[in-house]
Amino acid sequence: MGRALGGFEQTVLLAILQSGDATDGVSIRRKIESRTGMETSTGALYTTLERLSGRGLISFEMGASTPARGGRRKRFYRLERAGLEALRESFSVFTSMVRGVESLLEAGGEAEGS
Amino acid sequence: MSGRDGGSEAPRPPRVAEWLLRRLVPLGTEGKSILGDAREEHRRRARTGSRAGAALHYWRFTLSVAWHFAGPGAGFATSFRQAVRALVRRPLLTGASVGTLALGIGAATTVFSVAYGVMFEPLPYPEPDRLVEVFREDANVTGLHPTAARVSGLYAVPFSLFRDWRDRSPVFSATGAFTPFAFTVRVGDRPERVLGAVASSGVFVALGTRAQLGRTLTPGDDEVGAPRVAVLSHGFWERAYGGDPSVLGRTLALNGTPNTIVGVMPEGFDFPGEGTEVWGSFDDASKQNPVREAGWLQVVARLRPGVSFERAEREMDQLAQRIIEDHPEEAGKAVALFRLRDLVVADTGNRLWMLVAAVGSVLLVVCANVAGLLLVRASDRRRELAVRLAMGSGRRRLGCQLLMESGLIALVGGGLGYGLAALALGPFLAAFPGGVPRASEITLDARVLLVSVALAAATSLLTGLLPAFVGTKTDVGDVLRSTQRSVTGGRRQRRLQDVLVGAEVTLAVALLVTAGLFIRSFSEMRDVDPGFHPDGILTAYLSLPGSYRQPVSRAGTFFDELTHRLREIPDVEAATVVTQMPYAGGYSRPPVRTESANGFEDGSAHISAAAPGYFRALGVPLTRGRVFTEDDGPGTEPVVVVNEPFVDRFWPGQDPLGRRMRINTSSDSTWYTVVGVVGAMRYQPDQPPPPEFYTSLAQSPSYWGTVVVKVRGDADEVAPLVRQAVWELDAGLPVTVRSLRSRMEASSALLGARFAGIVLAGLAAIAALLAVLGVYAVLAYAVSQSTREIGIRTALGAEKSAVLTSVLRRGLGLGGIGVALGLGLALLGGRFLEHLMFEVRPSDPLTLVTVSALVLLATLAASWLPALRAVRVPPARALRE
Repeated sequence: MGRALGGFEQTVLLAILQSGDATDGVSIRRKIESRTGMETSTGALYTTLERLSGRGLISFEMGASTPARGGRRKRFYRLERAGLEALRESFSVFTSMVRGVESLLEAGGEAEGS
Repeated sequence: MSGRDGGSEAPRPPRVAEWLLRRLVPLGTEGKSILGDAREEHRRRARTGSRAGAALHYWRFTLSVAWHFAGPGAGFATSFRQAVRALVRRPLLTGASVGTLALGIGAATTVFSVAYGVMFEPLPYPEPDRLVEVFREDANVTGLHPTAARVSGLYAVPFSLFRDWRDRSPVFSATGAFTPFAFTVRVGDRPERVLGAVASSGVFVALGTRAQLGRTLTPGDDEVGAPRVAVLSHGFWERAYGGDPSVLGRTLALNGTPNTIVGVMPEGFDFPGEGTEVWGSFDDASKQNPVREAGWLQVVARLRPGVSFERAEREMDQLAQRIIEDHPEEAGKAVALFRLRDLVVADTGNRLWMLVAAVGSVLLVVCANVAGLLLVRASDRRRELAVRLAMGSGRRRLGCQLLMESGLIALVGGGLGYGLAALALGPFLAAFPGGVPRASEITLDARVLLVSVALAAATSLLTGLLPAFVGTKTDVGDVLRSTQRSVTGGRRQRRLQDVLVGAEVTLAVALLVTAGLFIRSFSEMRDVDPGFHPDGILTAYLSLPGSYRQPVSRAGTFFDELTHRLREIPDVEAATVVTQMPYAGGYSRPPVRTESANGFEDGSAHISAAAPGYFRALGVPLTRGRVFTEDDGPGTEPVVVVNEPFVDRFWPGQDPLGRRMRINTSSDSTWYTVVGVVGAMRYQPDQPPPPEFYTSLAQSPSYWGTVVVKVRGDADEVAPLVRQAVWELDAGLPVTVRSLRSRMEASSALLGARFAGIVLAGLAAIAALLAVLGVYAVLAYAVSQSTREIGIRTALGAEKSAVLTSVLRRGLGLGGIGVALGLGLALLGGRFLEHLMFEVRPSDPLTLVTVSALVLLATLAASWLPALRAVRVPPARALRE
């Protein structure tokens, strides 16, 4: 499948997966921030989205334009099959490496549910 | 484009940030989506929080986008990788661009570093701008710019006058006298002729360079009765003594006279000229010489602190006046000051400027060529670029990549060019005629590297901006929608191409004309009539050491015996001796006084002393009277033979036979009677034959002179026999036998003209080749872009010949305009170069017509192939596309 997923790329793909359906940039960002508690750089998010779409891991479609957006249409992103495969591979690599040291990795407390 | 916000209660995001964001986002839907997201966020926060908080968030949004989309990390690595890939994908185009840039930058760097080293690099002495040379000259001949020819026309200074200047001048902190001198020394067991100088201590004090070992000459050595001492150059010390530090105190025989070695100079010190290896102190006779009329020394001095050059000139003029009051024979002479730097650079400076201009033109041609290549490539990729823009690549990033491509080309080209320059510097310096002054100081130093890099950066900007400008301004929709190959942007691009190629042709033509003029100049100089027949003549310069001087007749006997021996060599038709030969690079020009109808006439003329048979050996015609015979010896009436220019100068239209003249110095009161007139001889190919008079060698013996041998048949076989004859008489004499022809061809004027011609021709050829290739490329590209259009036209019945002529017309149009402008440029520049040319006017019709014809023909040839290809486009095929 080519190059492995970067950390942030992985996070973004997971956020899209979490939403279950097509989601937009703002929602992705809020999801990541609420789940992880970490602030996400807008520019990093958009460039990552572009990179992922360039690699065919996600696709996008255009939504309607609303007055609230100053008349500009909104992009909605959807996870592609290739993207899911990439996540699965990422996950399998992670779990195989993590086996045996889970207790050392677990931080206290859980992140809030979305 | 964007609709107004619905509802007046919803606040607008900060205007500046929005303006900025609009410019930073990629084109297309992605960018618009991002803008919408930003506005949506702003609205939400303004509603749930504060207006200020929302504005702050918007700004952070904008800055984050700025950093990631347009900042340094913004896909720099990807742009770089893509740039490299794009370049490698078109190896021919890339190779051509890199190659031409390397050539241009390499040539430019070489010439610039030489020019800088000679003209701008300060001389290697402390505070070199305070160093001057002082000359004596005719009061009527002042104020001219120093050139090599000019300096040789200035009068050298007698020791007595130097002493006056040294002791009485208030403006110099140190004054020294010197003269270049050739010494015979023994290196190992071989006698060798070594270049050196005789100097006073003031020379070293003025220049300020300390000795590396021992000491330089000091004022004690200037005193009468002081022992003779010598200072060695670093090179000579290593060569003759192996760098042995115990050399101090040893004796070195200079021309037979023992000198004590007192010091060694550091490496690189070679005043007054390159190749100076020994400095000796003056002998007592020179120090005490009272003669004031004839001089033989040069004077160098250092200005006192606070004294300006102009003030020094004024005060030296005043001192000259005071000296004239004390010594009336000095009347009519003025003082001339020159900065040392100007003298060192002299004529070479002009030549270098010309080369700088020529190389600069080639560089411009190269840049234009590369820009054209990149332009072609950019328009080829219109489609690719448009697609990428539509897919969301930022316009800035694309432009960045294009700039990076041309930047890479420029950097690699620049690096290669620097390497080429490093290789070429040595041969270039070696080939420069007469040597380059200060050649040992010239290297490709860091400054030149900086210039190379600056050149590369400048070409990168020049060549990168144009295509980036044209390429990314593409209206995406247009390109994608168009099914044609040619796009509307084509017209502007066409004009750009035409301008670029037209400029190339112009510069190439100007260079070709200049090169042609110099080549003509060189051939005129070489074919000039020297006034004698040089074929079959061997020459050997001999300088007899001091042991021959007492008694003076020993020198005469030596030369007599030598010529007798030489005549006995088979195949030798004649052998004779003369003290000054033409084309020898030097001359002696004392003041003379001639008897005229109404008293006396004063002037100056070249002097030479000749043994019988000289004029016949060289084939110089005798036009009146007689030449020297064996009877013109010591004790008989002093006779002199003059040449035609001498007669024209002093006795125009009159019969000179029987008139009398003398050398106008107080030390020689002999009146000579003119017994014959001979034809004129040139001393330099580019100077008219000077007035000259000849004394009989037997009557004015000399301990140096040139042996002239006329050989029948092969001169090379006789040369070693001549050398042998000399050594049979004195094995300690260094002797080099050369044919007169080769001496003539090595004359500096000739070498200079040839060098200029060759280098200019080379540069012009490069420029012309590039220009012609440029014409071809432009036309070939145009044809390939409009095959469809041509096919349609021919299908609809257009004549093939019309297609042909349209292509040819564009090509010849470019050529024609280039030729016209180029000729104009050449004529303009020719005015500055006129004084470097010989017997050729800058408007020389032969050269202008030849170059114009050649370039137009070449343009026609370059247009022919694309024109044929255009004609061959079959109608059906084009329509199918």
